[in-house]
Amino acid sequence: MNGNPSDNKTSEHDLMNRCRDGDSAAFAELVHRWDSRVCRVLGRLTGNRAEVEDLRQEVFLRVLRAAPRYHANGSFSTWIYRIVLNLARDAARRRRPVEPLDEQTLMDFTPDPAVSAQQRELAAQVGQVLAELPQPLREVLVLKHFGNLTFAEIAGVLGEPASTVKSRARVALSTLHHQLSRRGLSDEELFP
Amino acid sequence: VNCTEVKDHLVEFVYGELTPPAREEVERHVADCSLCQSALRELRGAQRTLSALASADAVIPAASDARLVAGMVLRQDRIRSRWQRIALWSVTAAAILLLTYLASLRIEFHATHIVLAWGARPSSAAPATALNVQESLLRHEDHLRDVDRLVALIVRTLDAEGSRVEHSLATLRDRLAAVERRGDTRWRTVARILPTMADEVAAFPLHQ
Repeated sequence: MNGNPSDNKTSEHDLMNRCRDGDSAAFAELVHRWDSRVCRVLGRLTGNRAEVEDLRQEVFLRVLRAAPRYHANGSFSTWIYRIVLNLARDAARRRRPVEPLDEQTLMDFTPDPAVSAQQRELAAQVGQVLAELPQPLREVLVLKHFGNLTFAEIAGVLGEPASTVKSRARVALSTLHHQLSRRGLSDEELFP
Repeated sequence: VNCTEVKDHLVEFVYGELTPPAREEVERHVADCSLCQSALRELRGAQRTLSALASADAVIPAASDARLVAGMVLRQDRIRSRWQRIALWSVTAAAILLLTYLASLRIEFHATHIVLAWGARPSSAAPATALNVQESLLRHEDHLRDVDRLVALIVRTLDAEGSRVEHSLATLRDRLAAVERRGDTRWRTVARILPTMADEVAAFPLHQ
């Protein structure tokens, strides 16, 4: 499965069982495996780096609290991304009316010094267009690209039929393409 | 397959989620269809752009695991202490309410009975300033003086009543003794005159 980053290691289900028994090393391993992905998805769902720091703690706190009730009858990635999605939606509701995202905030998501200034600027523009997509479209693309989920898994996270998810993905990609073109940016020149 | 069917599968084709037979069908159709080629270019371009953005985002995490866990512990403590504060305030509020009711308990001493009643509750509009507390204490002082006077009055009344009862009992005793004395006198009189009466009766000519 795409969502599982460690097929050859202890499974997330086993780690959750150990968390339930109070094994702090198992919890640390879960955090180590999932922190990066959780942050990336949170960052692109909320579009606010300051919020990510707060929400990531809440995500893992919920994971820890849910450990005694956790049942391994589904995909762990679907389960944890559902937590992420719900927290991001709650944060967005609290923020209303929608605050416009400045480019500096978005550029902060790619602080790798190896990335050139021009690429960072382009990344910021793509991030801006992504952040401006309607929430249902943005959620599908973020879970796909930043959560590495299959369409079936995204359908599980959103609680929607897979056909709806695929249809949204098509509309979202098409909208993104047209918005970038409107800014004078073609897909090829952005990331050849 | 026609354009409509291919369009439904293009997004899965772009992300490599089609089964090999389905993927081959789409490839065959797109090779001969300019409309579908254009649609595929659009989707694939956007998909590659986002993939590149996601790769650049891979360096986001900044906080160490230790910092993250420390933050979570702090957060849990905040939640716990919030509940503790709520519990403490609830108990305090309940205690204040109870004291308010107890403070308005009214006890009245009367000569013949005692009244136990809930007095009027203190006005909630009046803030409990130092002056109000002092006034309240002074009022209580007056009230206590009144109670003192009442108790003294009751004691005096009971004493007076006691004296009266004692006097009556003594009188009653005297009266009983007098009755007894009078009775004795009468009995002695009867006893003295009885033989005389008997002689008179015997001497009385019954059949004259």
